[in-house]
Amino acid sequence: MRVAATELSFAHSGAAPLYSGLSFRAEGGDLVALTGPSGSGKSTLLSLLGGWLAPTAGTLEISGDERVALVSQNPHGVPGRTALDHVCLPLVAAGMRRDEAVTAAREYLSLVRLEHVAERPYRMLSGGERQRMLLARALASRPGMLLVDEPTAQLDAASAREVCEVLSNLGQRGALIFIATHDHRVVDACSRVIDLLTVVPPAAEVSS
Amino acid sequence: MRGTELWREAGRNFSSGASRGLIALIAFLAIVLSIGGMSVRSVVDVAGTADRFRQSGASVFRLDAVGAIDPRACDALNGVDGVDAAGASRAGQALRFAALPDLPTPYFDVTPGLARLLGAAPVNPGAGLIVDAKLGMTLGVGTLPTDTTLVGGSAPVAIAAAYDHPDDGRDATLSGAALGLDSGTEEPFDSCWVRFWPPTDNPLELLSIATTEPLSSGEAVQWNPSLGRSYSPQEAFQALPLMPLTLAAAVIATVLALTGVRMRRLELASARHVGVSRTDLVRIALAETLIWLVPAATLALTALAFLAAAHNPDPLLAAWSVGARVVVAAAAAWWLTVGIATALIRETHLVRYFQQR
Repeated sequence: MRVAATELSFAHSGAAPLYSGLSFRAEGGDLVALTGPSGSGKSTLLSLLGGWLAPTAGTLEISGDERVALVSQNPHGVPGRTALDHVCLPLVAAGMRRDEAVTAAREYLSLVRLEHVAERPYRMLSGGERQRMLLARALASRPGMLLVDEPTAQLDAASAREVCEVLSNLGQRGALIFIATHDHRVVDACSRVIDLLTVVPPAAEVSS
Repeated sequence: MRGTELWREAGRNFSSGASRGLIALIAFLAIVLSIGGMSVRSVVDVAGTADRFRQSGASVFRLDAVGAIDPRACDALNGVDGVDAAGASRAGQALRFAALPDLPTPYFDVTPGLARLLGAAPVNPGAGLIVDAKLGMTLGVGTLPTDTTLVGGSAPVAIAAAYDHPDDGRDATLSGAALGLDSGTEEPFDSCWVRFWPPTDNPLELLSIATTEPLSSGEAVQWNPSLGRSYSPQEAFQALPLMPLTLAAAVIATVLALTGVRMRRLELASARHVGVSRTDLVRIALAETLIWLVPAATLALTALAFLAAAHNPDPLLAAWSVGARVVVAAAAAWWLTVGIATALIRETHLVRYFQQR
């Protein structure tokens, strides 16, 4: 999957532009950090990439028809359903039988180091475990692009480190991942950075 | 999604509490048992009022025309539409029973139709006297048939049947009386009694048919006026707000179903987001609803059947069907609303749902 943003601008209705003239390109294997202070438009850019918002100017071309998956800043799941159930859902929805889906879901949970809590209900998972479980669920839907919003915002240091390692591994597996964050540990784990602080206006600074 | 997986997913959502099926079941039962119960009991009340009206003799009218009532014509009114029972009476010489030598007992010749009207049928002609049950007790003939004797007589007089004549406001003509069945007489009688059902506003029109000569003037006497002149069960039934109640149940069910889906909109949009198709999501939601709705509706229909049967003088079907209509309307409204509301959940609103959380 490829993304090409050219002279991208966005402003909420009646508000000043969050950014204008933002241009960047990204493709599979890129692990891109979107940085900037609160209100700089990191989450908004994720919504633009996901197609849930439209730019006010410029173009955003996304090639490939694969799924786009979002992992929100505030994890949300079904309290009574287990971690395994959550990850099985996209697999069953894709046509797998439950037993096949369980096997595959355990592999996704293993990828985010959660195999030991597979049978635990969502309500009994810690914040970090929830975040990683939803990451596994997003991956199980086999997206072409993964959008992750502040994955370590509510985590303790150990959980944040684990999430960073997982994301770093995913990047190395060829996934195109955008991560909105202000956590330097996540930024350090990324291969590229888009700093939105520097594009209010005139343009984004993309560093490698 | 495979059909078995769909039902399995729905079952897991129910058993885990994700679908809030138990809360929905309780809410559904609360709606249909309160509104359906109210509807059922209102119909039973109409039936009860009608039955009390009928049992009290309020729908019985009598035309008095001494020596001018054709007993056969009066009895023949039994076959007329709207007539529940009809028969004639003719006052005779009072009787004196040996057990009550100082108390003359009113005596009437009556046709078999009047015996039926009084609830003393079947009685064979010549089997004996029909007496007011209170008189029978006084005579010591509580268990019928039995015999008693008249003053000055030695041969026993058979008491063949008794009729109830409570002091509930009904005319005292037949109170404490003894009746002799006369089925073959050609002689005119004094009064023609007709129990109309359903009650009529113009009893004289029919009663006047039983007279032997054109009636110049006359008045139909209501046997028991204490409950009013007339009562129309049909009008009372039609005046019940059954349709508004049914609609209210459907509207409340719709609102609750919408609320349930709205509370889960983030979960449902998330499911769409990870690849569950709109069709599958709707099918899962409908299956989840059926899992609790079918037993809840069955339970409600059973409970309403008991409610319809309690103190109901009529067969329970009429009252129960009114409650069943409420259950079906609420169930259909709930189920369809869940399906439609789930179909309207959009993956593209996921971010908005997150923000609204």
